[in-house]
Amino acid sequence: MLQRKIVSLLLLSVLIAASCSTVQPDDASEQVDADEFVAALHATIGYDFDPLPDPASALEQSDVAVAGRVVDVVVGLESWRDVSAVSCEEQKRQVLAESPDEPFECFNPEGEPELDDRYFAITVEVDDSFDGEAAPGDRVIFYVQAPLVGDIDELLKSAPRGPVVVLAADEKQPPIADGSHVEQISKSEDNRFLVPFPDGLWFTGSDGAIGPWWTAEDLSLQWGFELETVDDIAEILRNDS
Amino acid sequence: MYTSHRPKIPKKGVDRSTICEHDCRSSRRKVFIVHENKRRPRWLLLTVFLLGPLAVIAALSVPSGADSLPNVDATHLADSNTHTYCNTASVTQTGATWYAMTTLRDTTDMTILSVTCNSNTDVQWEESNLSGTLRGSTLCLNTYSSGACNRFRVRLDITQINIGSWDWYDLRKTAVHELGHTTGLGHYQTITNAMKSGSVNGTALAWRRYEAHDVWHLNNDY
Repeated sequence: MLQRKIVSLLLLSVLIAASCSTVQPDDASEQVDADEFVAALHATIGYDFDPLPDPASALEQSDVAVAGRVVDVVVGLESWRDVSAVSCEEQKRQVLAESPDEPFECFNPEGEPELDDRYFAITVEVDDSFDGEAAPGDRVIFYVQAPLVGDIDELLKSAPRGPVVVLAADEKQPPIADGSHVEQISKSEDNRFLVPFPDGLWFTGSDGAIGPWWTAEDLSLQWGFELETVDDIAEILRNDS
Repeated sequence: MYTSHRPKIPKKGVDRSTICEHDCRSSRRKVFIVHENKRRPRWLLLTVFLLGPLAVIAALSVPSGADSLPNVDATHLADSNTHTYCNTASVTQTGATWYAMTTLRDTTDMTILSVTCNSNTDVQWEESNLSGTLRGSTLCLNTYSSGACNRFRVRLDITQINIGSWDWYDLRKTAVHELGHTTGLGHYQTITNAMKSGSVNGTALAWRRYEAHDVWHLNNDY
């Protein structure tokens, strides 16, 4: 009797699982929450920055400020630095000579060029423009610093799709360090290099607005409004534009 | 949100995965936040047995790679309680990087070691022109096979930092702040402390010190 019940429950489990299976979105209009993507950026990149003091100042400092939908995220730019080959034996000798307690692993003994910086190119289809020349329906590319570690292709599979608010400055050209060479993969048609402020990039997460380097609570505290969703932030900016 | 109550101090030898059973403003902390293990009741074992196949099937239905993201609990962490560091040729403000390193040494149980920049140096200081309102940045350059970060590049944008008043204090605050990121600390905006983003508004030492709760975590995690 008990065995029959167990078998029945297992069959029921299979049926439930089949009906609940997750499907990878194959349509740009489908929403993907930003939680995993944001967590990966937050874990590997840290900033100290001067927060945008209030909505009016935020718009004043921005070259582009829009609300819209993320429709595409790709690796937009990578820069590489040439390094010398150092054998594992030599690396170990160098490291342990000065810091004998340092955990040692050998890295890049062949001296392959090392990735120095990487930016995502995030394409946003504009619904509402608060500042700058973007118009509803335009597609604008924003560049966001990306992790150098981990599997970038896997990370891109969790890239957000859906409502977003972006406040960005036009840096004109990528901030690439001396001695690095750039592989430009994706380029904006108007040659702008728009980089969102760390507190000016708001994706849609499972619990509302979510940013890689600033929380909605922090923004609320800074601006003096209760801001929980991307729509809340857009509304405040719309009122000041 | 962060709460002001103090964490329960674990006994020596307790697995560090059990140390944070309280609310540690977990959404923005970068240190391990795992709940205490408790003895599992029999009904739980039965549930696991019955729902196990469901979990396996559900896992197989998740898009490929969803479990292969960088380990966000490890990639940001320092590799040991000794932080080795070096100044690259771009660094002009060596007093600020020294200040940050000695602050870490003197206010926590961590130790520091100045080395020639090499493949395993934990913190590699640079000065650079960063985008927009950035004062400093921290980037993990590569990781050990364990997932812990082997080498962080820390950049300071002196021009941005020097906007406004209190430049000497601002520079040291940002250096301490970025160094905090290399140990796994996240932002904490509510009170004056080194992990609060932005310019200092005075000369108070609190701007250049980690908050007590963060120190507690560093001392327990390394």
